[in-house]
Amino acid sequence: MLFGVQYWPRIYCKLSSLKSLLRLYCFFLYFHWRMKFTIQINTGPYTHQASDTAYHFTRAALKAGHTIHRIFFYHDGVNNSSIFNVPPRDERNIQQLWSTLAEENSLDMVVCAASAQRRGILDQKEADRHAKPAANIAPNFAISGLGQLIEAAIVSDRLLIFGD
Amino acid sequence: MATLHTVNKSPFERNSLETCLSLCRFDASVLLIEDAVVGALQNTLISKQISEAVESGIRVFALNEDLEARGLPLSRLIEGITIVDYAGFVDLAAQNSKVQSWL
Repeated sequence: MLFGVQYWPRIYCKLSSLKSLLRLYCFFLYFHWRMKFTIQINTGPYTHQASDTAYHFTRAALKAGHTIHRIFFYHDGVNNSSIFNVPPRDERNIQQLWSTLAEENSLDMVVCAASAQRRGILDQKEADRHAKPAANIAPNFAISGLGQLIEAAIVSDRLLIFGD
Repeated sequence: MATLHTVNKSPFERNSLETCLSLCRFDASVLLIEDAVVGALQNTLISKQISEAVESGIRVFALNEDLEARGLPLSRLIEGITIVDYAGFVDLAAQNSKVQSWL
């Protein structure tokens, strides 16, 4: 008598609670929709606040459960990715902050190739190709093309630009 | 669908806030970040325009962290301006269908 009449209310109860759970979930989704953000940074560290603002925004977005599809460093923003930056020890190191954040949250951080070459940001391959003594791209940054920004803008729900 | 406008320059340095307020739609939100937070103070050249925008239905916000960093007292802000933190900034970006950065 597993499916006897006396069990029906129980099964119904279970189903209705599942339904209400689903309704609650839909309600939750409606008000807290998980967004896919792309962040574009146009200015270097220590010259303008934009990189800091973008960093704090990214952290807050990740904390709220949103996805960061890509962080694109463009124009002078490529200077955020130089491992040769040595700020005083009691000051925040913006490049390190970005690298750590990317490491912890497996973020895709892309540096514009054309902007990077002009400003002396090179990975090992480019350094070899141009016979430069060293590469200076920091860990978790990748040098790539403008196509990455276009793709991110298409795929993401929101594109936020931080700059001067 | 509403747009979030972020302004990051002081209205006494550049005219981006002024232009933004005169061009944005009635249902838009304007968020003052970085140096633009000084525009949220009472009795300045721009305060009348901001008050008018608030009255017309435009929602104006200011980022708390940037107000604090500049030592601006919350008691001297224009009435109708909402204070948000970075989590509020993220929520605003999610709630509005577009984000327009005035650089």
